[in-house]
Amino acid sequence: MSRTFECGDTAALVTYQYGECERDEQAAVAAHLVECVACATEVEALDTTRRQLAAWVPPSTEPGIRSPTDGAVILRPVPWWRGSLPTWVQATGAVALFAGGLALGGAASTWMQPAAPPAEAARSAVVPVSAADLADLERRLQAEIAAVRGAIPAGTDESAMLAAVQNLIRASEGRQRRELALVTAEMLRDFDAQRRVDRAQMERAVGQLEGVTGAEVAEQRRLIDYLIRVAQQQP
Amino acid sequence: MSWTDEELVARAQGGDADSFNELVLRWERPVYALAYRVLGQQEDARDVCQEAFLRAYRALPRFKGQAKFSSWLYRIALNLCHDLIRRYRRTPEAAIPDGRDPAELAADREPRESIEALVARRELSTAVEKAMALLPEEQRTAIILKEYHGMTFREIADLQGCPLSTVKTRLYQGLSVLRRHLAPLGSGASLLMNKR
Repeated sequence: MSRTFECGDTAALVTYQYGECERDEQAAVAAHLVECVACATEVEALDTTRRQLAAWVPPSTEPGIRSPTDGAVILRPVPWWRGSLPTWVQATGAVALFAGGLALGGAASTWMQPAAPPAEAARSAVVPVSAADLADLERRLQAEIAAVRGAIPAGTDESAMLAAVQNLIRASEGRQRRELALVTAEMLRDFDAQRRVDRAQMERAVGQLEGVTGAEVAEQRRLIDYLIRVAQQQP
Repeated sequence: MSWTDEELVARAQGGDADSFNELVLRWERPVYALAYRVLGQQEDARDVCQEAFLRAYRALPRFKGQAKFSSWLYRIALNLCHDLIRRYRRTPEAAIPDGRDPAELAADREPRESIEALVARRELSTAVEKAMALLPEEQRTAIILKEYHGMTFREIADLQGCPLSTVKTRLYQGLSVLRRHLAPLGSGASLLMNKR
């Protein structure tokens, strides 16, 4: 049965829009749309509006429906990696973790201890001393003692030797006092020089500031004088 | 093994609570989305969703399978929405729900969507929500069932308890109103729709 489409039949246009027309009605509306600009525009506008409606997305939050059967929260399926593992898997994992910790702890304690010298190196570090070496050392010590004794005049007794030592000590103390005085004098000189430099810089800065301020004041005075002259010239 | 709705309904009618819980898991999001779009409020939509499943569970022994389980469930949810709207005596508010941002919207979309398209989608979504709130309840429900739940004119007519021609008229009138309100969004919408 052939069906005709009456221009402006909005119900038929909506049915066509949603693809629920019978086959002959579909053909009739399609043929009319080719000829009628108004209806074609209407269908196009409806299509645009429908595509805009697709942008409306409800919140993605879970409704969180409780089971009507017992009021409990319904257990929703979760991925295996987010679900709870069997007890034996958890126990195995705990043991493996503990063993790994022990191994790491042992390794760390080994790393932190100072490395013990190898036995070969310890043995090579012991230098063998021969009798000839000892005899040579004895000769050198005796020579040094003799040199010290030679510095003291022959025939001097212990009191003279004591006096000589005291003189040496006093001479040493005198040298230390002179060096201390010299260092102190150098520090005072540097401090005084730095103080003079700072003072000179401060005076120069203040002088510049005063100069700038004076220049500005002079400028303002010139401006005021100019304004007064201009005001006096006005009728 | 995946059971059909009819099989799960039959098992639930036989006393298997897990089967009904499976139906809840399967249909809670569509029912929630339907209630949210009709009411415009997350909390109300959640309450309606919860109550719909509770009523469905209580009425399950009387469900004879004369309609699809989903259609039956939608009818219960829509009746609850209608009662709530009548009780509040207000139109649904079009306030932007909390926690909705472009990133959230993007989660349901293609990951390489540009930021411009994301913003356009967000603006268009808000505009659609506001425009839908302006429609009378019957027109809004008809459009929601048709556009977002893919129901046929006959199913909508059965749900709304009205003639087929009335459903078409409601759809056309509702779409015409929406078109007037959404037409100014041509540029943003075109950016978005060109990517579809």
